[in-house]
Amino acid sequence: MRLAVLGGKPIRKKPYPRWPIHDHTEEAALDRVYRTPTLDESSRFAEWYANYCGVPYVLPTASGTVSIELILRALGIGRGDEVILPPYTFIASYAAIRFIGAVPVFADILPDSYNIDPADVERKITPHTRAILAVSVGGRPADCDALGAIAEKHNIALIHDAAQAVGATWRGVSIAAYGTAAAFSCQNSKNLTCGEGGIITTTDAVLHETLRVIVSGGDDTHIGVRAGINGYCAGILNAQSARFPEQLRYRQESAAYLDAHLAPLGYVSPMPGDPRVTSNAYHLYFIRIHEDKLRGVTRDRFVEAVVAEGIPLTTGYRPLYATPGVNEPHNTPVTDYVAGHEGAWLAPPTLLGTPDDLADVVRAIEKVYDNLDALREV
Amino acid sequence: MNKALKETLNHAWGTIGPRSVDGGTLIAQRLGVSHALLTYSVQAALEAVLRGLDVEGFEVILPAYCDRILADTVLMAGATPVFADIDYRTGCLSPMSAERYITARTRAVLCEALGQPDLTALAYAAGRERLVLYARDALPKTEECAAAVYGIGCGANHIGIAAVDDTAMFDRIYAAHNCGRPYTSGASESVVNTRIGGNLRVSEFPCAVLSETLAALDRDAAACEKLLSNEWPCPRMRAVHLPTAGTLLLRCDGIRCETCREALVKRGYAVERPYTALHRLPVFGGHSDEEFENTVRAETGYFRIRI
Ligand SMILES: Cc1ncc(COP(=O)(O)O)c(C=O)c1O
Repeated sequence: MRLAVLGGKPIRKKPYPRWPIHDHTEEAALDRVYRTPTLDESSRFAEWYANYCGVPYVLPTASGTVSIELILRALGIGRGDEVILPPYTFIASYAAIRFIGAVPVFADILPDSYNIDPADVERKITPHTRAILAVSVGGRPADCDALGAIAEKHNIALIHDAAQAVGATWRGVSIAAYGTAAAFSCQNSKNLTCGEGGIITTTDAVLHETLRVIVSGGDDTHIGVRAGINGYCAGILNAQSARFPEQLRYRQESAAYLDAHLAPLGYVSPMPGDPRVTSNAYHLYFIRIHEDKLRGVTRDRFVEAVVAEGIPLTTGYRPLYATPGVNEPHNTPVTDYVAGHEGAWLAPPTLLGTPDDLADVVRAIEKVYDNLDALREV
Repeated sequence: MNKALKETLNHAWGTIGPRSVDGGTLIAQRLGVSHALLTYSVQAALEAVLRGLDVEGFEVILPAYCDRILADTVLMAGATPVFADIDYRTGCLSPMSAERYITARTRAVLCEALGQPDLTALAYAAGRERLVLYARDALPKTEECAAAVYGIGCGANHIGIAAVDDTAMFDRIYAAHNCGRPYTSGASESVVNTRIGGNLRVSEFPCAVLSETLAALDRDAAACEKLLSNEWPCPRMRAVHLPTAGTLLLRCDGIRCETCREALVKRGYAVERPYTALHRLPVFGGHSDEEFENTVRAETGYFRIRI
């Protein structure tokens, strides 16, 4: 079969499931808020989320980005302070640090999770380090044990950028309950969405109170950042939340299917499992492409060919330091390799597809591999 | 159910959808400016403008008597707030006082339109390219400023607006509000980041009801306008002329302001003192030794009544 990228017939033309999903419950929520624009949908959602995650304090906000900023501000982190983060993430993780005037410091990622490498974090700690911003990339929790121990040892904050990780657990406990605080995103593409929104969780009563003061407009000693969630958005979350647990379970089943079918291929592989990751939220499903087994075809070309077959696969993040305006030094060879040669992910709604939709992912990858020589020759 | 909300839910409620884009165009047309950006709050709009002016590490002049959001946002954007006095007659930043604080480090001058500010004098003193107008529940037009920031609508319908003429400036504001991606890169997914930007984006839902919010604003402003020629209980009391939605600002030119306040309450008005001076608050630097004569006077002589 000729590859679609070379003019052949693609494996599929049918689109993957639409996202987001909604029904009359979202309509009812919007209607409630429309009738009473000052209605407090936020507290109701906060209560649900606190229960769902098993954390005492939840603050719904305007976005995931602002959630990270608020946590940093509430901790009194600012000008001259250093915050360690991985360079393999969305630009927002970095922007939040820069927006509060602090200095981002890059630590490398681990090759078998794409999450921040605790050993490199420890190497990057200086007397100016105030926090680690650990991203749960794709929805898989970063190493909460090792990072927690480092934060404690050096008396610095551990903040989880859990923007992609609603529903993620580590050793059976929600990512929301680890570290100093966690920031989640409910932006349009995310697994629990309201279009634009965010959530802060913490187990620290004092921090929560400071956050509350800041978000409600500040006081004599705290700046005010009025970044509470929009009422319509909170209403939407109250509807989406009812659907979320089942959707998460479905995504995880789909991921298990892909794991089982991709693992034997050898030239691509799923991310290895980790028994401590008791729930991967699977916002993104990572596929590792092994360039050394592609007989001279690059990861980029391979992915391009899979995409041409009708599969929503992308080559993943470019390292943050490739972004104009990001000028911090970096010595992160794993990120360089993953971003340049190995990483790829399936667009978030793919895992909500039917078994046949998922089988097409595997078929497309196999088809491209079977035609590597044709691909290389052009 | 509201048709526009239902349509938005059924078609597009994602990031920077048609509702917020069209809303920006509608507002720009109404204001007669080239660009208007909608954000999740008035503070977010001001933050985007200040970041667009690259104020980080520089000074921003603002009135000591104004909405606290101005001072909070200056700090948020990494700049130092430098307070100046107001003009007692208009309630707005005094051009003369502002001029005294302008230095080579001044990157922006903020003026809240409580009444009608003397923008010509302010633009002359501050330079048009640094002047930012700020207004709540009102959309006063301005040609004399680099940018204007507005907050309209209450509760879930609240949105912030950043209005500018200059396209290069708009690009910077836009990038500040959307992950560093400039406006001119278009809405495509494969966008390039050119600056460091956060997420100050507005939800599509309040934008879906924007025309209703604007209609309510106009209705309330008209009601407010009617009150401008009212007889107030004290002969030295005046309405500060800027029709805003839902409230009217009054100023007492006499000295027995407390008596005025009581008289207003007796007439059945809900009266509040709009602001306390910001320059004394520790969070803003606490320059308590500065004497801002008009600011001090406004603390007792200004009233806001609900209408
Ligand atoms: C890792 C990460 N951090 C932060 C964010 C920012 O979230 P939001 O878009 O809600 O501001 C995102 C969103 O894409 C993200 O993926």
